[in-house]
Amino acid sequence: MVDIHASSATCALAHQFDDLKQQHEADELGMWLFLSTEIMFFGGMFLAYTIYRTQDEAAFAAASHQLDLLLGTINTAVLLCSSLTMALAVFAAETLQRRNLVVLLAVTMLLGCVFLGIKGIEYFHKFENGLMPVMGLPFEWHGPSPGHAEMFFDLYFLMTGVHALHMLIGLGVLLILLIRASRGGLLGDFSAPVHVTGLYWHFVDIVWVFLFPLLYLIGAR
Amino acid sequence: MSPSRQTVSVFFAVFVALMLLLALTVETARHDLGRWNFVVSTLIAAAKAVLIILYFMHVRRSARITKLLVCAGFFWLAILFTLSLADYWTRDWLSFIMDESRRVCPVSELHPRSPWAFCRGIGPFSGQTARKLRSNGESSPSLYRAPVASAAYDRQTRTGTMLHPISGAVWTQQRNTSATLQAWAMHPRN
Repeated sequence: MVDIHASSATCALAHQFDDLKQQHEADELGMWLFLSTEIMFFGGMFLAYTIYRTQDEAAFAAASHQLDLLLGTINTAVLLCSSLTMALAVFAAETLQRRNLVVLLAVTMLLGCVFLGIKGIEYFHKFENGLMPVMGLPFEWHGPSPGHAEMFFDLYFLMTGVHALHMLIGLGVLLILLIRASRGGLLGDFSAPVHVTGLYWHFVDIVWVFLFPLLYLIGAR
Repeated sequence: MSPSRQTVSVFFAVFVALMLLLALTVETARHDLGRWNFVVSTLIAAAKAVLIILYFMHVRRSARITKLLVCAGFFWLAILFTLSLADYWTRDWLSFIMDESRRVCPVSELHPRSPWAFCRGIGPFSGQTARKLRSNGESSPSLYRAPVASAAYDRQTRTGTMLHPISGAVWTQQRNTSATLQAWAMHPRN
């Protein structure tokens, strides 16, 4: 028994680290370094949004009111739920609950797919109403300041599109984790991939937490 | 309560708080609070982000260097916003020194709080700069006395022209400013 534990601990610990605690801190630090670059990546888009919104706030408010507040709110709730299940999955991995880990990862993926499905429905409604100024599609705007309204929808599709891309990448990583977890991996000392993926998933959730009020809640609805 | 039960109950408490904040932000958006709509919804989003970072991402229990890096990430974001907006949001301050009439305003007549007040005492323009001003339609030579003229405003085209007091570079910009700032520009002595 003692030998098995010793060998498993040796496997989990990479040779350059003193102990698992130090390795865990390095995993976390590395992921946060990547997330800092992601903050700057999304930050540039939020900055462009801020500059154009302050140029013509009324046009942005009018364009924003074309978005479906109900679907946006449901999507925010779905993403917050998936963050909860992800946090619980990390906890399950750390406390050696294989069954819970597999179920929670699957639920997280399901909620992620629901989010993307609702986003797809919203995109399709915008396309039907001629409010999708991407890839040369026609854009029809009958209110004042069509230029700034178009800029709002440009930014809407850019920001939610890049966010959805991050969700897709997250779903791909979760699928790999799900396969490995169902084979009995990723538990206890080996749970670092679940932990780090959790950080990524929560970060994507935080981006949406800011996108939701900035895109859906301009002015009074 | 065992420590594991405690962790799970903290996750659920944070989740409930997040959902309540979501309901609160949607509810406040139904009322017209003017400027405060933006402030309230952004503050609620920030509160949600802090909850997620501290509890779901358990930065609360992370190593000090990780906490430092998280703060640094948002600090870099603040630098990005501060420097960029300091540029974009001050570009139309140029109109402060533009009078109603199409004339050149001597820097000595600038309002003390005008962003260009620091130009006082710089100059006079070189002959080349003065010629540029004249070719721009200005003819009264009395306006080119030191301390120097630096800007002109054309009412018809709503275009302002500024001459850099040292390099003599000419900068032209269409007028684009809020009503308050315009009023201040019209009555620079108020």
